[in-house]
Amino acid sequence: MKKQLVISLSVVSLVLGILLALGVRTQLTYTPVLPTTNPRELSTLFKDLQETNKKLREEIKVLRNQLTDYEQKLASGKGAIQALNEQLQSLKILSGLTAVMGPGVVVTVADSGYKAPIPELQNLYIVHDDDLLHIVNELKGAGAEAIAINGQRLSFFSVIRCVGNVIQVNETPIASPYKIEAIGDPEVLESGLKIPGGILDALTNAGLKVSIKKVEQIVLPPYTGASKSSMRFAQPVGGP
Amino acid sequence: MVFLVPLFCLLVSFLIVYFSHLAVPLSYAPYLSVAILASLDSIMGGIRSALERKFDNFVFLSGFFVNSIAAAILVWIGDILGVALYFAAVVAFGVRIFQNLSLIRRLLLRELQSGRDDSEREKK
Repeated sequence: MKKQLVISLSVVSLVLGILLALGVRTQLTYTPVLPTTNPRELSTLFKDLQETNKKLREEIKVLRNQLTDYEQKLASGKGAIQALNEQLQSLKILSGLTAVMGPGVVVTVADSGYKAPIPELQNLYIVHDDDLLHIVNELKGAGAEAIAINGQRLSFFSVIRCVGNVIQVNETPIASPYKIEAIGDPEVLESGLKIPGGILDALTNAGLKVSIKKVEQIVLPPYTGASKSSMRFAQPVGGP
Repeated sequence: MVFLVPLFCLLVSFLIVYFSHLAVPLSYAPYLSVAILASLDSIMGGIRSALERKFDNFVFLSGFFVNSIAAAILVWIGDILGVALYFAAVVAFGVRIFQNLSLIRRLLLRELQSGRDDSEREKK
C-alpha cells in the first residue's frame, strides 16, 4: 500500500509540476501592458505619457526646422542642387512638413452657448468632427494651401475624427473653440465658406458660434505627428 | 525517505517544462488554474488519507481524474455562458485544500505527540 501511495503521489505531483510551470510561463508570456489597474495610478501614468508626448512633439518641430535650415544652407551652392532644394521645399509645404506663413483666413467654431433642454439632445449643441471636416473640405475647395486646426497642421495623412467624446486631429485631442487657420487667397476662402446654404450657414443655423476673420499674415506650424520616412506600399510607376 | 520521490517528481517536471518555454494561450488560463487546484487537492487528500491509514489507490487516482474533468467541464460551460463559473471549482477546491491541510497538521501533531509520549514512557 505504501508503494502504491508513493507512485500515485508521484504521478499527481508530476502533473502538478507541469501545470505549475505552464502557469508561470503563461503569466510571464502575457504580462499585462499596464503596470497597474488602479485608476488613480493609471491617470498619473497617462498624464506623464502626455507630457512626454508633448515634449517629443516639440522636439520633432525643432528637428524639422533644423533640417530645413540645413537644406537651405546646402542649397547656397548653385545649379542642380538649388533647383532640387527649391522643389524639395515646395514639396515640404505641400506635405505639411515645414512651417509656412502667408495671408489667409481664421475660422473659429465653438460649441453653442445654450444648454440642451434634455441631456439626450446635447449632441445637437456641440461641434462634431464632421463639421470640422466640412470646413476643411470647403477651404481646400477654395484653394487653401496649408491648413491647421488648433495648431495641428493638416498633412495629407492627417486624420480628423471623433474618439470617445473628443475630436482628435493628428491623434491629438483638441477642444472647443476650434480655430481653423488656412493660408490662401483670403477673399476666395471667405466666399467659399460663405456660400448660401453652405457649411457656415448650416453651423450658424444649428446655433454654433462661428466667425471668419481675414488675416494678412498667419504662421502655421509644421506637422508634428508620426510620419513615414518611406512608403511601405505605394511605389512610383515607371521610375527614373 | 521514500516520500521525497513525489517532491523530486514535482521539481523535475516543473523545471523541465519551465525551461522548455511552453505557454498556454491566455483564454485557457482558467482551465490551468482549476487543474492546478485539482491536483493540489488530490495530493492533500492523498496525504491525509495516508496519515489516517485509509489510503486507497483507486479512490485517489479516480478522484484526481474525475475532479479535474468535472472542473474543466464547469469552466467550459462558464465560457459558453459568459459567466465565470470556474469560481465555483476554485472555491470548492480551495476550501477542501485548507480543510485537508488542517487535518494533516492535526494528524502529524498527534503522531509527534504520541511518539514523544512513547519515548517518555520508555525513560520511566
